[in-house]
Amino acid sequence: MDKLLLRMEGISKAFPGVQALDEASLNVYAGEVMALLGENGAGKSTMMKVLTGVYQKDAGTITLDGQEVTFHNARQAQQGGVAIIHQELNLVPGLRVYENVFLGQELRGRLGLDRAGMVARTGELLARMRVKIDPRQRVRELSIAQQQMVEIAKALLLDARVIVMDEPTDALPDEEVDSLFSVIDELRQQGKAIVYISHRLDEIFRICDRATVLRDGRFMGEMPVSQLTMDSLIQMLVGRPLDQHFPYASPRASEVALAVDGLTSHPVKDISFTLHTGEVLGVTGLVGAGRTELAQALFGLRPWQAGSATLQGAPYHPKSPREAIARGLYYMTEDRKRNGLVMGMDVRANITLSSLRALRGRLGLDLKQERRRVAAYIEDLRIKTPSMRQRARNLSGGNQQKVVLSRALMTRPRVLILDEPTRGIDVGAKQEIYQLILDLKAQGTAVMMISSEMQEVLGMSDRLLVLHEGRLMGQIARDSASQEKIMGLILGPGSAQGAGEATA
Amino acid sequence: MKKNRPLVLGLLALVLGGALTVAAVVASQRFSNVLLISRATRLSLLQREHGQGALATLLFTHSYWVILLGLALLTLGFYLLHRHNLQSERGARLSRLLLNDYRPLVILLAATLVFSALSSRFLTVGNFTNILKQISHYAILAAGVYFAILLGGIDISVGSVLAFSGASAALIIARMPDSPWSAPLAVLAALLVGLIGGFFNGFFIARFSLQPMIVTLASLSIFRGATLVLIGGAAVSIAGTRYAGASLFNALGQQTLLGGYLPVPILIMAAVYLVVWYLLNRTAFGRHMYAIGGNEEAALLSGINVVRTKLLAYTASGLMAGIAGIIITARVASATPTAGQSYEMDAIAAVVIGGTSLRGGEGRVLYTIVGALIIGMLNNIQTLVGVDSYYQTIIKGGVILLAVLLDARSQRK
Repeated sequence: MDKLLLRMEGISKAFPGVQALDEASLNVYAGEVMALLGENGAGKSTMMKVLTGVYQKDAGTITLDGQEVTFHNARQAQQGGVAIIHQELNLVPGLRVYENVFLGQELRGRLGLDRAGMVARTGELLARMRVKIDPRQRVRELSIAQQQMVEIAKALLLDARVIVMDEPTDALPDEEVDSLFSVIDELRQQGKAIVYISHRLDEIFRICDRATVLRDGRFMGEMPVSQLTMDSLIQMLVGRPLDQHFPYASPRASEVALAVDGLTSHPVKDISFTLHTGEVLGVTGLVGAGRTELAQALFGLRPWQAGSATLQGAPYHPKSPREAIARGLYYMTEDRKRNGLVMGMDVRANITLSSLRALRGRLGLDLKQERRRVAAYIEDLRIKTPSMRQRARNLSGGNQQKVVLSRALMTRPRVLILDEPTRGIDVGAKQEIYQLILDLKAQGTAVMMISSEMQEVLGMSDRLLVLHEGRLMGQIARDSASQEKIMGLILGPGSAQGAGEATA
Repeated sequence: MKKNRPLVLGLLALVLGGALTVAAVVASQRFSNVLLISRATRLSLLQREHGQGALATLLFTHSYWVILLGLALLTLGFYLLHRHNLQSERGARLSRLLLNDYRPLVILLAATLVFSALSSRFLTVGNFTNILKQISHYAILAAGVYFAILLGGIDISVGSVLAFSGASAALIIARMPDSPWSAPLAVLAALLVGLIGGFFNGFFIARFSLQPMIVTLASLSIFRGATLVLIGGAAVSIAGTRYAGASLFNALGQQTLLGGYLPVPILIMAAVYLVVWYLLNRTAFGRHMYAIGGNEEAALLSGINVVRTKLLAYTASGLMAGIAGIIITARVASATPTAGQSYEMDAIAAVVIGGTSLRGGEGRVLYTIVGALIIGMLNNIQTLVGVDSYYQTIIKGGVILLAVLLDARSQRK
């Protein structure tokens, strides 16, 4: 215990116009997991980029095992024993596990490569983490959690002593988080020092020993997790006490907005449900349960093999998103970077992209009206941007999400499908989005909210749909919903035991 | 004082570099009106013109190296000024703005300054009218190629479509020697051929999601072949007064307005850019193109009809080729099977030098005309100071490479 392995002290780093880090510090101890926390823009990733030599620090010292070090690139950092596992994994999907682990440092035998040696060594590394993955399997066949473990094996091969994990659970379905955590636990027992970056605060309490908090590039404090509560942690993060409960109001008497009957659209099978105006319908299930696919089918992105639907009383079977939007249904995707925003376009054009028809003036687009309406959304949703001409890529995650949301709202949807609306955004922005969903509900919009975060789904929904392998396992009313009950349905039939474990 | 060192050194390098370049060019022009010449020719010229001063002789003897050194010093000067700018926040923003947002205009300005110093005949109204007239056809092609590049694609078939539409027009004029109606008919036919060519590209690219490079490579071959089938290996001449429609049609390439100052091709180019600018900046169609080029999936999910937008964009590119085909055929009063060959390269170069991202989704169409102007000025000054036309091709290639390099650097953060 308490063996200080890595010490970053008084680190400053400025970019034109921003002081990204202002004498920030971080200590990492051997055999411990250190949480590095902060809102978006607090300087976490800058700190890690300074550590791994992607950026050069303006001031401060980094000592590793008592010796001062400066890395100039990620490779030097690796050789110095510092490995970083990024959110986007750096694996070659077409290659096998052992080939990925040994990429760039293949073992050579008498006749070319020493395959057997590499397979055996990879097997050893994986066994050290107590995971069962065949070293000869192709990486594309692995789950995301398994792929992360291959990345970790790569780090272990290089004898990394400090392992940085940047949002490792962001892309992980809930049941795979447990296996990642047991690997982290294993690494901790082997005396590795781990830096754990995550937005999900509950995970900090589950896996971390200490927490370091950054705010606006400054060091706010280092605390043993045992002395922290959720409330005190949030207060350190945002600098003000925050109501961490989910805002909720009971739905008013309402009518059916969307009725789906026996919808089959591979891999979604025979799903029936109704969605009412002024209601939030939560949809949950494992990744691959067909949640996103259900939304895509309703948005005209997937052909229907069977089933029918009505939207506001009229038959509904969209062939394209264009048609769905015209009928008053909007789907906000789970991945704003990949298919939500047009990063190179400005905030204004991103917001009005789906509603240009409404902005038609006598001579082309009515730019004056466009500016006025965009300004209103920027104000209403409190989008932080220097101007509406700012490019979307320069905004923080939470503000980007608000831009996509504004685009959806501008079409005045009767039914709004939100897919993981709070993924990868900070606590403050999350609260604002929850409040917004509540406002929409009060205005009579029918909201379908897909989420992997159990607490969020439980906190926000009036009713819950649980999917498993493309099938609807059950509908649960808010009053009778509990984590145990949902977990039981999520894991599918014949998994009473699994449910017990997951909630333990 | 130390802070200002890059500034002082930078200005010094600029002055010295500029002086060396101009001096070498001016000195060389005393011996010969061709700037880049072979060693043997130079030796014989030195013997013949030995009456020139010692300095001029020295500069001429080493003109390649002196010019290279001059240009290197100019580059160094600009780099040092950039370094000086980086020292302050405001300067850094200015530098970024000049190097990224206003890059084509900055290059245009710098080129105008340097070229004016190289030749007194450069900065005159007559010469600029001439340059604009010479760029008009590929600037129009470039407006179409801009659509394709904005979508993240490319259109390399424009030169062939141009030839086919020009040939169709010339053939109509020649086959209807007695009717004055042949002129408007020829124009319509050329535009129609352009539309069909563009639609052909757009259909395969949009409907079947094929690679634009491969589809337009195929149609580059198809339309060049179709031109040969239509008019054979020889040119179709519509010069003179044999044909009733010829003078009206040829006016589109040769006539000047406003007392000789405004050639019709320039007018057509201006009109084309006005319409294209309007489409891109004031209509939903334009926004849709930017969105598709920036993120096609996001565009689809925002309710944009991606297939239709792409189809229209490539069709528009074909239409531009049709317009350019009319201008070229009218200017030389004949259609040849090799017309427009490799014009797609000039058009693409204009778009790239105009700062449009080859990844799609970002760019300004008016910078494309600036890019075309830069290429036109470069060709023009090389002719004025007498650079061998073989060398001109190499230099143009180098400039394109430089433009792509600058684009790649500005994308990196």
